[in-house]
Amino acid sequence: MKTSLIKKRRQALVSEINGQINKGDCISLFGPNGAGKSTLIKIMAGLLKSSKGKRVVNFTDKNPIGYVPQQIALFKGLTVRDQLKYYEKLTKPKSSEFIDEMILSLGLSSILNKKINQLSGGMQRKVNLAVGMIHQPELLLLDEAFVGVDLAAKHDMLSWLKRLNENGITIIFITHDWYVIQHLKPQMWIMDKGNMIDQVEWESVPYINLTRQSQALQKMFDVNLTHVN
Amino acid sequence: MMIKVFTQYKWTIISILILPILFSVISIVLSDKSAEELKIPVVLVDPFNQEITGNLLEDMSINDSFIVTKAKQIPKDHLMRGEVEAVFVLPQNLKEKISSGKLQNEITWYRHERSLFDGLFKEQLASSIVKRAVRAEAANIVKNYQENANWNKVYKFGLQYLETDPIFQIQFQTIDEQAQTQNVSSDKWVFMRWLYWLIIWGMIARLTQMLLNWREQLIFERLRTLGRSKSLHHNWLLFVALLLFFITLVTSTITQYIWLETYQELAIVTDLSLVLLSIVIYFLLSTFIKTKETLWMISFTYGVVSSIVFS
Repeated sequence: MKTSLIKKRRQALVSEINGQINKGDCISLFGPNGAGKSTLIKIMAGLLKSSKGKRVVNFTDKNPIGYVPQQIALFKGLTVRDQLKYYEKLTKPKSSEFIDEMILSLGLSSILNKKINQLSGGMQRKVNLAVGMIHQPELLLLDEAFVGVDLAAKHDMLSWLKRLNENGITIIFITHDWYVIQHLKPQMWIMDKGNMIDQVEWESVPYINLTRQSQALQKMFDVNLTHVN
Repeated sequence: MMIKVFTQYKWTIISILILPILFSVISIVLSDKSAEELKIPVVLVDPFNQEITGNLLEDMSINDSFIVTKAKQIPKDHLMRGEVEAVFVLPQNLKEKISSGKLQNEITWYRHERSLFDGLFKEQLASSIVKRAVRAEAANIVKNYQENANWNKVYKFGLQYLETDPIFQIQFQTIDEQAQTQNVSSDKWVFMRWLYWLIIWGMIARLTQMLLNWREQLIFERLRTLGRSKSLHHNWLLFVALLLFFITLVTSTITQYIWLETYQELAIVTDLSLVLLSIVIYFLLSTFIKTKETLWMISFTYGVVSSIVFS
């Protein structure tokens, strides 16, 4: 990943982001609202093109990227089973065992015949995640995929993601939830106002020098570190 | 699997599928009414509720050019409003009067200034009464010469082979009137076509809303990361085109058959082409339209404009 720049009405949304992501990495894009995290993740997913710089990818699969958007991107009138089948037919996954294991691990077995609009917000998030992973991607991009999910459901999702990561799947996610960060133990890409400020391991966050950063980012750290302590 | 994706919107699909049935029913109801409009309404007044009135009504029913109604009083208001072409009032003891041949000035005929065809009904009524009078006269003569003869038997069979039909048989099949009838049907067919067009245009807008919903729900975005967003677009295009092609073909054929009693292949091809073209237009517009409100505003504007053009 080299310098990326998206211009909206002549104002750069993301600039000067340089980073390399290796197979099996777990990275959290962390920063206040408007820092450019979603824009960056969309560039990584190939949904947006940067006006400068380039995105160099080196995948072996045909469908290497799994993208889980912030919104519930599902057909609301379809059952969970039909939803998964639709994407299964579309992407032709490598193994059906993976799908069975995923359904079991995320606790989706009991809701397979329910329509999406009959499910709770947390359950919809689980299905949203499952759909994004159905083709066993090499790289999983999660844009605030845990919003509104209760602790039990979050635990299911995080345990499953942790296992995938341990098995070599690269995960890049955006979250404001420190519980998620603690669980996945990622490398943190700290972002503010479209710039990457720092790349640190999650345990190092309390020791980052924030003197040059915005009030929004400072406040964010204060709140989250209080939570950790 | 794709079918399941589309059948999420089952009420939209069902309402499209019932269009041919709806149009058949509307066409049949309207066409029956128009056929009745060409019939002549006549009232036969019998204040005494005599049996022979029923027999005369039966005779009249052979000719379906008249709608004959039986009444006890003269429907003056209907006659004055022109809702009834003419009124014929039958006298008391009509059967006896026919049998005795005393029928001078017995039936009163009311009409209004715009009455045109009531004379033809008078001819038919007179024919029916005269036929009975002639038979009764024949039976009376036979009975005079042969006391043993059965009057009813002679009345039933007497002279029937010599009796003539009324001079005027009303068929309403003159060239002008046939043309007029066809024009009325043709106008109504154009109206039905316009009505169908408005509905189908709205339906295409409703189906296009699917695309907008999917885009709003980021389904296309998710599919794009898999390199498959085009497949859903293409499937939508194929599904909507096939569905509306079939529905338009059936509806266009049925309405033509009901109204024109023939098939104008060119009209069917035009209908199909317009529908397919509209689907493509909506499909292309869906790329630029951001909200469903804009979509419906475009649809509404087109509806108004097309109504003005049609009218």
